[in-house]
Amino acid sequence: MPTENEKLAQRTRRNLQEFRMAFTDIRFDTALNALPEEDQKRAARARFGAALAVQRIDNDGFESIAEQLAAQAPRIRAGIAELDEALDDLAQAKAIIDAVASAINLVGRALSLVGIPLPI
Amino acid sequence: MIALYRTGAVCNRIMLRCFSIVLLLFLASCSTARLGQFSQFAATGQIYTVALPKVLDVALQSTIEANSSELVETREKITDPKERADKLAASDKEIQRRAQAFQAIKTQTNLLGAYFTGLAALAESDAGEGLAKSTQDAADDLAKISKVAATLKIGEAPVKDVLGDVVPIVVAAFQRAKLEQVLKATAESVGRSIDIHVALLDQLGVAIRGEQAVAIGITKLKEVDRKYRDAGALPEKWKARRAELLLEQARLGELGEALKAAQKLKLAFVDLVENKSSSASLTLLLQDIQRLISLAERISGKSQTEGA
Repeated sequence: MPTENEKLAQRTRRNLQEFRMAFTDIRFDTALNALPEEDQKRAARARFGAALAVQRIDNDGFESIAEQLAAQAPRIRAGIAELDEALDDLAQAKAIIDAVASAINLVGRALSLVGIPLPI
Repeated sequence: MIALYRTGAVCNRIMLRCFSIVLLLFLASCSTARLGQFSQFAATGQIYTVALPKVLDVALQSTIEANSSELVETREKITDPKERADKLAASDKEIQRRAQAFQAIKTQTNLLGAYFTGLAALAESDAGEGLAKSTQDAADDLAKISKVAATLKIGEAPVKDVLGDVVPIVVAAFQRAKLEQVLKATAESVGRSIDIHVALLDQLGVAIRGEQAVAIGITKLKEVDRKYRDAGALPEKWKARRAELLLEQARLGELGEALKAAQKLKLAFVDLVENKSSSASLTLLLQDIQRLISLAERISGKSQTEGA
């Protein structure tokens, strides 16, 4: 749930964005051109200020998201380590069975070397 | 009476054997189905974590594009060199801030991707087949050495044949148990991370739509609207350019649906945690990710063309 401050920031952002978009409207552009030069300059400064404010609000949001994700990182890293261990366990089980198989094979070869035939 | 008892005992043994076989098959099918669910979820999660950085790149590109267009437009009215320089520096600083935040998000997304890769590796491990082969080989060697080992049987089947069948089931159960264990240990933080990604995609949607709307709006004002308003002949391709830009504005709405991908990833994760079938939500998620990638490629391609 967003906090009151976050809601206010989003409302302000929406208003600022609408203000930015007004400058792309041909009727607004026509009206602006009819104003004295000083008013046009003020409008340009306000336009730039609105764009920068939107960027700052968005950046605050993205930085907060990056921090929240980073806060989950240790638990996820632990999960990855656990998955690696489980894969190692599986590989070890295979290694043990392979070792037993080799040992049995060796015993068989040793028995045939001393002249005890294998009962195939 | 004794004969009847013996017949009953034989029946019990057969029943027990049948029950054991059915139980084994049931366990095998449960483990396999659950492993499949883990595997599907992990694969989709991996695709999401690969797609997201592309969307972040597009978001950054859109910001730079809109910011540059606004700087150019305001430059005509702001003539003081110091004021121009300050505004340019302030804009660059915010863009760098965003690039750093996105880089941090990418790093965490890669970590989530590594988690999905680990899940996939464990769920899809073919250790069961390898172990079955090794066990079979060991049993064969044992049978060569000992006559007793060669004649050992479970039910009607020789031990060496049964071993090969049982091992994959045991391994699948082991894999499933480990996956459930990891899922239980990480459910809260992975679930929370996906929730944060839902918020991230929401915010990215607002940002990309907003910046693209400004950039397209300024282009349309300069290349189409002012040309129409002001005196003089219209450019040869005026109609085509107008149609192109109006359609681009209309397409910005598509972004909203595509950016619901993280919400579906969350649904699929909840299904996995609660052991419910998740193929429907995963299919929808894949469609959203596909749409996301297409949009990212389109926006990115458009900017490259315009920049050229």
